[in-house]
Amino acid sequence: MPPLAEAAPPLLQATALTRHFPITEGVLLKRRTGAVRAVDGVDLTVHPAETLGIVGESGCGKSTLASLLMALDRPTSGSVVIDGQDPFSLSSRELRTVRRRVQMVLQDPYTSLNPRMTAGQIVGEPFAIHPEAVRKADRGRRVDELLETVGLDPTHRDRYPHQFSGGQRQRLGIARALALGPRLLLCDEPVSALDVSVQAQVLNLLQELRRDLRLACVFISHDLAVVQHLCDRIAVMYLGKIVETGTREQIYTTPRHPYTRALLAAAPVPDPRRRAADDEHLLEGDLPSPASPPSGCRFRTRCPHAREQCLVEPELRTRDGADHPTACHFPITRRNA
Amino acid sequence: MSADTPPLLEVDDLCVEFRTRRGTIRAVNGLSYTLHEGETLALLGESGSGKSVAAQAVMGLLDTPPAHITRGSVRLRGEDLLSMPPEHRRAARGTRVSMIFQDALTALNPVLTVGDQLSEMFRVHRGEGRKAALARAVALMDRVRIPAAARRVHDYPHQFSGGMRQRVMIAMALALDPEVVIADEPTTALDVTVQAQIMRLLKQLQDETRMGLLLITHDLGVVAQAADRITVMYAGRTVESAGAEDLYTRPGHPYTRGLLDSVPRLDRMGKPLVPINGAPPLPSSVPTGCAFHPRCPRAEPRCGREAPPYHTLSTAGHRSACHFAEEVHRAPVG
Amino acid sequence: MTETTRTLEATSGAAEDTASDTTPPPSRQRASLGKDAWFELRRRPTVWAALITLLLMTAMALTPGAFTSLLTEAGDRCDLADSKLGPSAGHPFGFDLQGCDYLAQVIRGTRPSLLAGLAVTAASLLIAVVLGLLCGFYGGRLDALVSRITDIFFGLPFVLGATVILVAFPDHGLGAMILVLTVLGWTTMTRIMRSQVIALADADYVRAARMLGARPVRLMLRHILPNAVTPVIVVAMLNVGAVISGEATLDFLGVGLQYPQVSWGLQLNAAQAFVLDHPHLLLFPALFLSATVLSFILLGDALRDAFDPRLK
Repeated sequence: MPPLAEAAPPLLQATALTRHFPITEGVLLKRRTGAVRAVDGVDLTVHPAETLGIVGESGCGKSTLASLLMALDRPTSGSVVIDGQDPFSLSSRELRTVRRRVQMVLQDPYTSLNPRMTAGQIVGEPFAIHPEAVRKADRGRRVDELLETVGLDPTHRDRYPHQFSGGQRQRLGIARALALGPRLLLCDEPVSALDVSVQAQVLNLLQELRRDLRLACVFISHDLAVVQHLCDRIAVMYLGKIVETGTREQIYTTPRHPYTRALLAAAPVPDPRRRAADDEHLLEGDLPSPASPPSGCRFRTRCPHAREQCLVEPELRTRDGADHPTACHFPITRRNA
Repeated sequence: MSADTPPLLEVDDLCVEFRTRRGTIRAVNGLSYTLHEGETLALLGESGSGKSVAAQAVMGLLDTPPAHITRGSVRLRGEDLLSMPPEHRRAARGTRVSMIFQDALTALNPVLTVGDQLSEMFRVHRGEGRKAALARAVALMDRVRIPAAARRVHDYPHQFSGGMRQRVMIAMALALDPEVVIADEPTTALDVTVQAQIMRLLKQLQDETRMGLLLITHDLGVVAQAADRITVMYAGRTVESAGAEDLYTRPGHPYTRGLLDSVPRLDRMGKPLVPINGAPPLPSSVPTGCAFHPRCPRAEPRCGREAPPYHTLSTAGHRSACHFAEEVHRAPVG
Repeated sequence: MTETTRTLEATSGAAEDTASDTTPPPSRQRASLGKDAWFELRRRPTVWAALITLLLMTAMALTPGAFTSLLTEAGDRCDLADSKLGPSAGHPFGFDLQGCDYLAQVIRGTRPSLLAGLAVTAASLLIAVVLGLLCGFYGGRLDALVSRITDIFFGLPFVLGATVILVAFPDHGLGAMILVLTVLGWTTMTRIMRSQVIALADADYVRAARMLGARPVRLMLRHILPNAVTPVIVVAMLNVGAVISGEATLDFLGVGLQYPQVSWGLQLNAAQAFVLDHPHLLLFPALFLSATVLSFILLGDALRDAFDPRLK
């Protein structure tokens, strides 16, 4: 991380963030019988104009984490600080002003736009909610500008979502998120619902916006290649915990956690000359249920290097002086790789 | 494969229409491919390209009406499936051609145990007794590497994880030793680590049985890792077909080239993406001439008028439906 | 030209469903729902028949005088000498007990029936929308309370409940009828509305609006209501028919409207003693009643089919 970014106060910070969903039994008298530990003690920091990628498979808690970071859901414990403020201790009025600074792009462009509102209404809704943001007389022009920013034709502002293609709908969602001039954009799988040939358009748009508007981004995805393409720094999640964080180069060229290495080995490279020959890094078995995660290291049931020591939960910490924390007792080093 | 033995599965100029009250939609409009024994052929296409409809047409799973096969042939070892009497066709389903679906949770019956569903195949098609059929089911589950098969055979589909359910689906598809297995997006619903397991399993099973595998997917990565040959579909039509390495290193169609340039790749970190403009057409409004011309970077006026014929390119078996196939093929991949 | 484009657009949804490759876009169908539904409705002869019947009935309810003077000779005159006479020239429906022209009387009976049907449905719809929105959106104790009350009212037997309440009102007027039918009829729509709202409160676009800082009123009125109300409207349509026949039932049983008011139910009640000798007394009000109820039900059914993407 460049020292400059270190100096600026973080835009978004999560500390020991935890969200457990209670499992109840019984119809009338609900008894609590357990909890799904969707997010379990996550620490992360996003600095201004930085892009953080969060990678993980389904069930790792990344979507719950997104809801917590955006203050759409309350954590069971731990804290979120957005631009120096704790959203959960704010009044609803104060929270609304905080919302102007962080916005979100949702995964599915087919469900994230109200089918009964026109493109102009959808993109202009932020101004209706925050009338103080833009004067009424200027709103129409601002909506047109936003549509142009995301590569849509402003003359289409009276069209309904179903009259747009998937990629265009996602652009509408991005325009809506940008309307209030946020400093941070959280993107939850923004291209996974799109056709392959359209994904690149949206990825390039996000990259341009990030650069031109100096936006900080949190980019959540299951797709390693997509995250790699956009992010400066990457956190790998497994069963509600971050198991490794590092710069893009660190994660992709010298992964230290066996799970990260397995993810990289399993991702199919679109080149027939580079068929995955190294079956040794492929994982066996499935993801354990987050309702009853393994004791100790959560990855130990699938880890090829698991030993007795792994019954004790490893901390996410740096080793050997490199700024590349892993939660593993036996991180991969160049020697044992 | 000598020249006089017919190929395992040969689809030629297949056209499928949906006739609804509101008009006719050409979902598949000239699809051709050949699948040989022990070979994996990938049918690569985006949503709306007609790849799933084409698979259902081959399986005989389409309902008429609204679906009508208007042209073309589907030959299994030289025998035309489309002109077969319906009873023969039904008998071939499962025993000679079978299918793996994307979503195992909806493709399996939730109220029957996995063992019931697997053993039913042997009881119906082979007339085996309950005990023998169940033993076969366990053996089958072993074959698809489901741990503790003898115990799990009595579980219901929802008690299996996504990856294990997909293994059950594969077991069902392979139960009667079919010659051709059609896998329709078999790993799309799965996570990468599980996807890798399933693709590896399919490869191992193929080596054991010499089955022909038709892999239908939109995932360029999965195709590159698994396919021997590839047929690319766009708007219901085959636009290019080639051997896997040939297609990825020297694509002969601008659409294929566009796809390859637009996916982010782990092996090309930081390289800018070159997107394809626009969106794939809806099956109800396919552009005239070459269906890809509105999105094509090198389209000329005639592309909007004339549907390009297939050009055979330098390498054996590499065909492309583009007026400029030779040029595109010659250009280096960046 | 525009017509064909629209047809093509409308068909695209169906095609995508059958050719469901990766993710069939469900909302593409949802969004064009209104247009699509009208397209679907226009081509059904039953819809046209029902619409024409209802237009006619509405006109009769609004201006009964115009119809009576047009269709009968001296329709306002009653002569006991004509009592229960069968159909004749100039008096196609014959005469009723009091010797009034029966066609004129049946036409006059349209107003209370239609009024009751529409007023009760409108009131129930209002209750359903308000309660459904609040309970579905906020959940918690309010929802639990309203749900239990809904269960209780849902469990009340209609005829018995109505009789008990109506006996408490001495005048049994149309106002009381509307009140009683509303009290006994709001539950179904409220339940449907509530479940719709619960499903939509988690919709992605509602989440997006929350993210923007939208207040609950905006979420409910702008995002949830317009998308939740369609199935409730369909049920409301079916409900009009049910209310009209319910009102007639209560009149017939003698706990509803009372003579000298005019309604189909009362006419049926009066006819019951003379059915065998003078069947026309039963036939004509029953015909009008059935035609109206059936029209509303057909329309509701057609609406439901048109709006239900699964039936496409």
